[in-house]
Amino acid sequence: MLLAVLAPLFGDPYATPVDGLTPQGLPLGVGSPGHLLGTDSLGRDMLARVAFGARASLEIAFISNITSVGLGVAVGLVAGFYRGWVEQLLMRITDVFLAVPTVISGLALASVLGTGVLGIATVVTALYWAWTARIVFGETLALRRRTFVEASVAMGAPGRTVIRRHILPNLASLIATLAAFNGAAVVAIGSGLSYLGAGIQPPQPEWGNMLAEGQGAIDYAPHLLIVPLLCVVLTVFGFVLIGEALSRRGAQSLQRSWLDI
Amino acid sequence: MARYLIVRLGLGLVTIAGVVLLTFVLQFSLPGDPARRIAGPRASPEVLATVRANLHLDDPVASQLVTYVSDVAQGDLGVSYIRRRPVIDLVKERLPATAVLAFGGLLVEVLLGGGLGLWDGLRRRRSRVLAAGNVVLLSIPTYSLGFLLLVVFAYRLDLLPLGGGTSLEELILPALTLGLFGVPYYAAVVSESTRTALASPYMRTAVAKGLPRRVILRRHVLRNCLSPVITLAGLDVAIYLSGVVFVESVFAWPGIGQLQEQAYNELDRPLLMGTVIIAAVVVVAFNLIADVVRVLVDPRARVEEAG
Repeated sequence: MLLAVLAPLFGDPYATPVDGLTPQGLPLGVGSPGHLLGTDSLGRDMLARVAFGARASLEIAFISNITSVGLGVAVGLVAGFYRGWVEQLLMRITDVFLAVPTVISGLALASVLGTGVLGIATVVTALYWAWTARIVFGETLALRRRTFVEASVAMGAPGRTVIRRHILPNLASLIATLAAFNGAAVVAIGSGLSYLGAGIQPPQPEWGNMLAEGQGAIDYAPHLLIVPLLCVVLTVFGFVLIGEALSRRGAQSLQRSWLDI
Repeated sequence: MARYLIVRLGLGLVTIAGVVLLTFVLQFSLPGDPARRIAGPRASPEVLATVRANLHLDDPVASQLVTYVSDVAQGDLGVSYIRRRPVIDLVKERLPATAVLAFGGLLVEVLLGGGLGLWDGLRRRRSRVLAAGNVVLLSIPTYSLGFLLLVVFAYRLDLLPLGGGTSLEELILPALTLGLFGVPYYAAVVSESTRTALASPYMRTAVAKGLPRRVILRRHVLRNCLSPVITLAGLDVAIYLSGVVFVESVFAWPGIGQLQEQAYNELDRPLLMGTVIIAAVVVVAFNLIADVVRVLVDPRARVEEAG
């Protein structure tokens, strides 16, 4: 399973450089000599493209998973622990980010934030931090009422200490689960935006824009579509499996709409 | 109940206001001069100045914000740069196609997901096949699922058209894509509430009374599942109605989602931001409606909200 996530990375150093100079007739199929996954319409090796595509896709996923979970946890914790106007302000902002369906706001944000790896990572972060924030907020509220937290507050421990010593350790397994499901969602939306033309732009291979290119070749070279498709699906599958395993330990149920894009 | 609704309505309005504010900020930070986009590259300075004046582009930011908010509040989302027509009209035109697709997707997920969930919930032990199937379905993003179905049914088996229109035949695959993705959630929720219902004291009473199985199912099991399904469906309808970009893009379905994709690619600012605002309004509205309906069909919810 982990291999499914990391396999493209292992393939990376061996990948032949992208060779766009030798035009060939029809794209070669999967298993052709010298091109394990065939070639695309310009004669470029599919294995190399998928492997380099993995770099872009997984870079975006990695960055935005860390930033969105980090931001979500921070907002949820602060809002849940300090309550009052801080809670009102932060949770209303969270509501705003939860109100618009992911892809639509993704397109709107991408039109401003640009199409590089960092731009897309920022867009994806903006789209997903609120889910984590909402869940961490609820969990923090519940912890806040537990006796050991109340006791330590009553003893006059500063808020930062209480959060670090009592609340964060209790949230650790929840956060790990959230990060896994968030990872799945982030991979899916990152490539999805590229597929729509709002992500990494064509000369640079990325799973999503390879999908878009493959869509036109569905009649005569379906592997152009299927190869990047399997990459996306297997990667998401890997994250979901990790999440399922973690959630069975922590007994956290999956939130509807998390992966809904 | 009334107080609860008013609070929810207020929160919804605050959320929408936030979205409007956000779109204003986004529009402001977009590159390019809107006046030039509208008037064209060869417009004279006088024409540009007129357009700028019409759009209030030379006003201070604060007064632009006031104009923008009051326009939006009156349902005026601006005019599309490319199509030269009001955003609202463009979206309205696309609504029927999107509504048909939304309804189809909802039908698939409620029937299939609900049926599977009920079957699973009535079993003595949870079905492992269903659990595994759920994980697999969850792992396939909608656009990937669309492509898979497209390759298998339209290309390999040549059973169904590739898409591009809105006929019933062309609806099957997109609706299936949309619905299949939701199936795991419905199956999980229905299975869970079925189990809760079966384990409850009123179920023992019903069986002891000797009620026929059919009546027990309808009156006690299905009714118990209704409220969570309504909550899910409310959110889904909202998301589907505000435009399912991926599915519409894969199957070339001429709905709101396709309009949004085009708006992005054409850098059509008002159209893009307009659809975001409409989406937010639809989501907030349907959440509210789902809440009300849930309270109406489930007497227990009334008690919860009162307390």
